Amino acid sequence: MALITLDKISKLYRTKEIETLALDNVNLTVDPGEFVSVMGPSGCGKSTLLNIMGLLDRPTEGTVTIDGSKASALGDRELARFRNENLGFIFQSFHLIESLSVLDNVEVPLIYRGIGARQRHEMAKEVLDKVGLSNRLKHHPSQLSGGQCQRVAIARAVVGNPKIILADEPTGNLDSKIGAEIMNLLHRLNTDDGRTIVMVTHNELQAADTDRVVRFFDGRRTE
Amino acid sequence: MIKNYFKQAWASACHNKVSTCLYLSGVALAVATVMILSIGFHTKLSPIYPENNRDRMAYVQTCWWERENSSGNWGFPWQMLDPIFGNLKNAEAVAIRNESRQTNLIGVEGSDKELKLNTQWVNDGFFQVYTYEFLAGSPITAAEVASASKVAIIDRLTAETMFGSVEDAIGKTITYASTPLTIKGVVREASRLTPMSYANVYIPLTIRDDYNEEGEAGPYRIIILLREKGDMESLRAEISSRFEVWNKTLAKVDDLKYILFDQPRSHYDLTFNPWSSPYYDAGENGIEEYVWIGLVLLLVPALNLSGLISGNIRRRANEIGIRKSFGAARTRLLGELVTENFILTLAGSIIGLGLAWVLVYCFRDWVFTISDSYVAMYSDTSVHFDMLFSPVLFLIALGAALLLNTVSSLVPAWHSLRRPIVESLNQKL
Repeated sequence: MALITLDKISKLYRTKEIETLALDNVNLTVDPGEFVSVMGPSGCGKSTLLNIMGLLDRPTEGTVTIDGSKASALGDRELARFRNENLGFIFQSFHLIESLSVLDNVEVPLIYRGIGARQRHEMAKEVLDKVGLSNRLKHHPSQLSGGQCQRVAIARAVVGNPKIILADEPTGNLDSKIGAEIMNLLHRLNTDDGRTIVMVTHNELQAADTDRVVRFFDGRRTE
Repeated sequence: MIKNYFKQAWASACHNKVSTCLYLSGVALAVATVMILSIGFHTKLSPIYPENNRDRMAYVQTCWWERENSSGNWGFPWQMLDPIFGNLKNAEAVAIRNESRQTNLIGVEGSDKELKLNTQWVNDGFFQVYTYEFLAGSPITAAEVASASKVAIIDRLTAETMFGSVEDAIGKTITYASTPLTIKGVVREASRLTPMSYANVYIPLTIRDDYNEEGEAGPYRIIILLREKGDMESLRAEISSRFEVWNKTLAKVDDLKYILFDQPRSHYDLTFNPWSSPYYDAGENGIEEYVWIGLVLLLVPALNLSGLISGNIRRRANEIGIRKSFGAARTRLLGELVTENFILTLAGSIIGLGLAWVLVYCFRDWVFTISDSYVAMYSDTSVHFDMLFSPVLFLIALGAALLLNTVSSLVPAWHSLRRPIVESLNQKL
């Protein structure tokens, strides 16, 4: 049984002047433990797809089913809880909270899960140790390199032990060497921990290294 | 959860130092404005030493009289005091003070030491209506007033200045216009912000040579302590009937007529409309007028705060998007944002309270006399702690600030939280 099912997903962006069809009747399934790459030219709807898959955005039409739960049936609180327990996000521009330290940033998903401070610290430290940042706990994002920021973002994505990691161009802002390190980390999360990963990328080499590549063009799935 | 809110508020405050400083200043200014106004009114209206019974005080300050071709007003003449104000059923005590209060040179017998002091000529009831704390000795008695005993009560500061200590002052002699007066009591000093009761030296009113001078009016002002708060109307009726009798008695020998008008009046009425008269309308200057002034004064910082909070929340749209991505529900985030503002408001309010105290203390001669020229006539304004701090007033000011803050923060916060997560995440700073 598929872990993620997107059924006839369309997304239409409307402004007063213009309508843009970002996704057009897209079907996609992702199995548990799979590492899927999503590729396509800029503006083809890859990130929109990932946002809908991550329940960060609602489709205009179609249904999203994750681990047997239909997203459209969930209210704001249930959606928040579902994201917290099942999904981890890695963004191209890291999206770390500048006012918080590395440790506090990683603790964010745990706070909303209601985990106590001591246990939160332990869990966050453990995962930061795994990504090689145990010596940067009190630093703030502005004091870190791009690669370090993305490691923090990965730590934050996995600290709550979600089944699914959604990564939107996770190496897009990094040089090739650091990018390779980040990809190694993602592969370890997939192979060692068995997490399902869906990654948007422009990098053919990185995509080739994953289980499956899904290609998009003008909002339609082409492969 | 609360600890997290605090931690988050602290992190956010430290990260946005300029904005935090502006926010705290805005709240502090708003609270200080409310507090200064409140302290002013607290001093005028609330029970303040030694006028702790203000809610039971009834004032008969003015004696209006008219004849066929003339009229006038002043205080009451000696001959009217006992017939009108003696043995009132509704009065627990009656204070009589001679309005001819002035600063006099008071000397220490056997010494060259002389001080220019504020002097009041009062009766024994004065020390029953006003709750002076006697640090040594005892109040002036009815017998001493009746016999014009040469005694005096002085305040602590005077005692310490003249004799070194409170205890040393008792039994010593001071001189007023070459008249020796034996000090029989020392009281904790009143502030000149309680003008009816303020003085450095209190002397029996019968000591003055002119105490029983006859005339249409006289120098005596009356303050009555009601037995119960609700006795004002009964007292008014009682005094009114005595006025009628007095007028009838006078009418037999003269065309003189006395008018009571709306007296006796409450402390509130006297404070806000001191010059009401049967002959002209001085206008109704109730507390409402000052409340409106206060609200207008609050409006400017309120608008600034609202703009600042809106800007802050807009700047934090990205953070809101991140938190929502990782599992924060809208209501939880709303709670976090409002709590952050609450904490900052609380901090700003405490700063505002301190600021208000400093301003009131440093500019007391100006602050307390903005709408009251009466208290400015005499010596320095001493400000007691009980004038500055009323927990109720602080809570009212804090409540006003919190209301202001909540209204200012809720709308932009809720508006921001309703935006789609993707839109928040893509917000560029």
